[in-house]
Amino acid sequence: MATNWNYLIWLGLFVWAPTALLWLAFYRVLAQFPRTFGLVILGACAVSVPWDVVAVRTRIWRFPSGCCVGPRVFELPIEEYLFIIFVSVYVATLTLVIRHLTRARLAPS
Amino acid sequence: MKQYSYLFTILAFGGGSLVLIWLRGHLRRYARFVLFFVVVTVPFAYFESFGLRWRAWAYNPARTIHRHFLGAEVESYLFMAFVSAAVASATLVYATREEARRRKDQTRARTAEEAADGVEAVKSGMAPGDCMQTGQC
Repeated sequence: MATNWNYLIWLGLFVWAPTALLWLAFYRVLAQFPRTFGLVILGACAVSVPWDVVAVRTRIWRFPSGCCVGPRVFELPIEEYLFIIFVSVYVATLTLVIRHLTRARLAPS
Repeated sequence: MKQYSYLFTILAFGGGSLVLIWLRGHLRRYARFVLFFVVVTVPFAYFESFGLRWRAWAYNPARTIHRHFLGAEVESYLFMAFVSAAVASATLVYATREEARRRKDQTRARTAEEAADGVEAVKSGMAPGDCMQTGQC
């Protein structure tokens, strides 16, 4: 399986699909926190983009030539920016859903 | 030492941001939740094995410990732990603030509404609150 769509397929299967399912199931809960999602995305970009650039420049990881569809910005493919944004949205979504489901038992008194 | 490069960036960026959030966020009351959340999300690092197999990205074996667990780099499980803890902590801080702000706005709107009702009642010659009894609010 080696096409330019590999990274996007990975994102679709393991990030976008579960996030979409959670939003479908818990839309009412999640839609109450637009500001939270915005700030989480901003924070994730502020930390992860420099981290990624450092990692690519110091050759800790790389993006093989056939991995990605989009152009590269600061040596990172567009897919990597999508990864940063949507993984943080996914984790934030999961946090709010689990908090909603467990609030009675785990929330501080 | 080069094989610890990935580990070092995880500790520097992931660990650093987590420490910053915890220092500023007054999150001690959520420690149990964040720990529970990390335990739930760390196994998600397994999905990296598909990314590596499909060559969506690749690691430099000289810059990682180069030990794998279920097809993913061992460091990736640590990456998942720090990143999920940091994002979950930030989410809890922002969500708590957003809820507090919403509650404050609702209280303010209710107070303004009640004040407006009082003014209306005074204008019509009734004592504030009487309109509730007469049904003229």
